Amino acid sequence: MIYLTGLLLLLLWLVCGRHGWVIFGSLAGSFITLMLLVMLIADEFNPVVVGVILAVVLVYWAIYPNTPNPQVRRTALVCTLMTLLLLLALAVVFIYGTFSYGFASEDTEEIEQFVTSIGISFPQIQVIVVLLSSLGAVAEASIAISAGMWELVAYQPQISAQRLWAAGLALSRKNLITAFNTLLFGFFGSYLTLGLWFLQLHYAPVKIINNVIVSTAVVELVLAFGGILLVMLLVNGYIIWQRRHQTR
Amino acid sequence: MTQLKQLSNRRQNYWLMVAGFMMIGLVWGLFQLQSTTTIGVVEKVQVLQRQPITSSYQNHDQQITQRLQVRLVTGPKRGQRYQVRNRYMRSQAVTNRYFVGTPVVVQRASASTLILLGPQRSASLLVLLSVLLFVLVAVLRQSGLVIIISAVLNSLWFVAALLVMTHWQNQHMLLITSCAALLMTLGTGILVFGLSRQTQVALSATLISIILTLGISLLFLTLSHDQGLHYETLAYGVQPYKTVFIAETILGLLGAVMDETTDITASIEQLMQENPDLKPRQLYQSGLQVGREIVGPLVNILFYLFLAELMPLIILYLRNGNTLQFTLSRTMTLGYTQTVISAIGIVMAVPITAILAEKWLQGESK
Repeated sequence: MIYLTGLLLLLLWLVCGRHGWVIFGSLAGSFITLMLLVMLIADEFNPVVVGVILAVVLVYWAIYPNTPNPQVRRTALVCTLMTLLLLLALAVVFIYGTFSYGFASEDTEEIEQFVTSIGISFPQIQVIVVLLSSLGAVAEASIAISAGMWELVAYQPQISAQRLWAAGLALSRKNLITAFNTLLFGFFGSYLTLGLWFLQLHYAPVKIINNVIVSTAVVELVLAFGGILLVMLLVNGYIIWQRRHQTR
Repeated sequence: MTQLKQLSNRRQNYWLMVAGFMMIGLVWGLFQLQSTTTIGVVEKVQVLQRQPITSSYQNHDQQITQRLQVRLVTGPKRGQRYQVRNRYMRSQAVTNRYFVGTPVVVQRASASTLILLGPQRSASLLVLLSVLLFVLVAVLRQSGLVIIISAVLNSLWFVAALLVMTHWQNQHMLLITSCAALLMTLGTGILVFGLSRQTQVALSATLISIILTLGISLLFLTLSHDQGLHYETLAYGVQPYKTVFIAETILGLLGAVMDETTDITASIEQLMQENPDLKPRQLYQSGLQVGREIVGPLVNILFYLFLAELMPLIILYLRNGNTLQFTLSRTMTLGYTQTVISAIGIVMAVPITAILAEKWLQGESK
């Protein structure tokens, strides 16, 4: 593990130069922030409250080191934070609505040694899990799209709002597809063993689609997709609104 | 102008219609599946008792007993009402609190008693999926549809790979995963980006990066004798541990690397259209530049995804009197290694894609 981490650091430095150190530093910062979050929740702080506060910190960790241009940075930050607010509401609705939280009977082997009545709300923990797992993808999309659109504005300062909107959508489309795939393949990797377990123990299809782990995964995936879609529309709208604001 | 607008309106309606048909298909499929279970709806909820519970490691919780009135909505006894008791913990780690209107899966034990098996999740999941499908098609129209088709195709490949693995009793798992990964890469690339030079460069860069990354990472792991790795902590303990671990790594790596290579080739393509007389060397430099900019955000996606999913388990470990160090060693060594390998893949893909793009252009200008 240590050797692989060292290899990653070396490659980052070789390919990205000094910026490689910044990337590695921001990863370490995110890691420490997440560990802090987990420990605060375990110390009975309300999961949603500390989760939302530290999610804002994580947004800064994800966006600040990766946006040299202040205009792009501001757009990305504002739009990511707004999207996370909307996602928070959606996560609460769908996690309680689909009962996608806690552990399943398939987890028994892993958790049977533990006391599960720990007095911390698992639905609330899951809300934060959904928020954080979509955060990376939302931040990436907002950085990529706002960078592309501001570049477009710099090239053609006279471009009309309508054409800018169309160009923004075209730009977003490409980003959306690749980001969707990254998440989808990531989930395939995470749930390969679960899929084999289902098949090899001859689960009925009804039982699979009603399973907690499956529904938790679907909620996470769909809300992350939804988050990318939302942030893309927000970035488009925000940049057009800002341009109109400036010219007046 | 108005004619043009009408035409685009008609096209928009057409895509919405396609989305509508897909939703009908989804609903129909779900009803087919559900016809084998008995489903009820909670009509009344009454709290009978609240009891504080203290367990080891000073964990305080509350056990609540609910009396539910459930009306059956499927099966021969449809419409009949039953009283059921449900006990849940306030923290709801393995139990659930039910509300009025919750659909539940039940089993009739006798004429007057009902066994509560759990909440019925698929109806609400269907709502969630339909909303996503609808928004995707409404906002992106044709591209939205392409995204959905490629997601469905990739999921089919994934399920097919699982079926073949099961059929061969978990033998040749790496071969099957590699084949599935190859099919997914080719399918997604061609469906989404068309059969262009750009796609060819992106796909070959993806494959080369994955092979190189896997080779180097596995060499490092072997040389360090898998130091610090706990293969036995692999979720659901499907044997053989190390093979399953590598198969998972390939899938995660694929998505991340493909994202990087398609982004780089797309911006090089755009650059070439804007100034056609750029030298190959300049293209290589700008490919590197674009790649460097997206390395950070891409690694972040994987990193947050992996850590967020572990949170409930880590919290459970910590509340059961374990130290942070022990907790991490039991929960995240495998996921961490997979994430680092994917990150290495993302970084390696930058120069590989840039070099391939340069060579490809040299070939074209000759």
